[in-house]
Amino acid sequence: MIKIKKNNPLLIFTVVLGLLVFLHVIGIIRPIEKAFLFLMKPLSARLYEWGTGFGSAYDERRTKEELLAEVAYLKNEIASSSINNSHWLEIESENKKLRGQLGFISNNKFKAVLANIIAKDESFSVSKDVRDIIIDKGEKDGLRPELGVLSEEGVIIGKIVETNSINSRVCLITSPGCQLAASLQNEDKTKGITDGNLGLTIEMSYIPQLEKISIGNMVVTSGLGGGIPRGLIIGRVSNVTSESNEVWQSATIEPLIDFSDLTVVSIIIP
Amino acid sequence: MFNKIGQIIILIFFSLLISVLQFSFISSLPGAFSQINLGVILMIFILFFFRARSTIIFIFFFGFFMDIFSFQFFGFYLITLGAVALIAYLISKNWLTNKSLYSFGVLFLISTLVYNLIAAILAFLTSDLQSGFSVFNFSFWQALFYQLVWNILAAILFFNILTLLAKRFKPFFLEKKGRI
Repeated sequence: MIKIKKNNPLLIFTVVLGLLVFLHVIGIIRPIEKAFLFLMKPLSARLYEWGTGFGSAYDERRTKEELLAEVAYLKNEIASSSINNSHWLEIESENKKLRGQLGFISNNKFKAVLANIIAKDESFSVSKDVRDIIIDKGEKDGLRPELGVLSEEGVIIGKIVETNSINSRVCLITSPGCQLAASLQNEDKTKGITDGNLGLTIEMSYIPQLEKISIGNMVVTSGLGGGIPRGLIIGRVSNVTSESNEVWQSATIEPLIDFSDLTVVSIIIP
Repeated sequence: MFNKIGQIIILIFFSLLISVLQFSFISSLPGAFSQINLGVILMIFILFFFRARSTIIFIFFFGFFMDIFSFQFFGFYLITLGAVALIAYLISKNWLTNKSLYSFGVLFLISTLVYNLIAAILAFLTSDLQSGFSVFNFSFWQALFYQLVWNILAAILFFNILTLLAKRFKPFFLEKKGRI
């Protein structure tokens, strides 16, 4: 017969673990958990900032050739942006007049909550391309799943997928499975669904073959998702895949910002 | 008595600090750096050089804090680390005959492998089961490889530091006496 010692560390660990899970499920230790989460918020945010800073410094180690190529590319971009800029300024002034006439107040339509990113989720998921971020605001601050998350520049970076009282988990729009209802800024105002691709770009699928898409078209949220208002910038079309024997065509969208440098985000509550 | 309580309190604070470091700092590092697994490294270090009881206290609090911080189900890290600690303890007690760098390295390798496999199985069982099993994905093995490299480096570093501080872990390599 196997004898089990009363002070066996393994036995004690198993019993305490079972008890802890039970107390967590019935909610008795929730206040302790919340207290730890609350107390660790500032430290977590600071540590994440340091880690991101280290990552940025690491990524910036580039060769001379790469930098020269980038300078040439940026010169071209400036030239084309200047042309676009004059065009947009004209549209902006026209837009201002029209808004004034209609009494349209779009800027104060929704409430925004600022949050710090405190971690990247170690999800043990199928693909390491899925790296969600965790922010330091949760249900207590009015957040819930499906709300849109914006960068400091106002570009949509993802949506909330899970919340607890203190924190929320956000999927990035470049992560596979993170889908948004989107609309192209082309003549047809084409609507479709975006999905992350390899953690780097975004795919917009289910676009009818007859719709005309051009490289460089901007993609914005369509507002059909429910929790995310329309008109938030997702990215720019960088490639169009269209086969004559297919019902749908798809577009590859490049995000306008680098998600790895983010430390502060805002969440829109419609 | 007070000495023991003091040691436990120090271990709790140490576990809290390590769990925050792992959760926020290590996760935000780029590429292979984000695969450093402080929990497993320190667990094996404590198990190898200190008592089993200290290891249990460390993994209990480290696992508890990680379970609070993460969005995995509560108990995920506690179960994973508990199982790894048990396997590492049994291996060190029954199979490893001395406290050499080889034994330390083997313990690190097996623990890292077991940790990742158990975590992947638990994540798969608690997911919607439609997303597939990460073990069949290349990125799982790539991440595991990085972790193994980091852990071996940690093993060499810790062992060398300890051999400088204490003589009981020598000889460093197998002696060649009696060789013809």
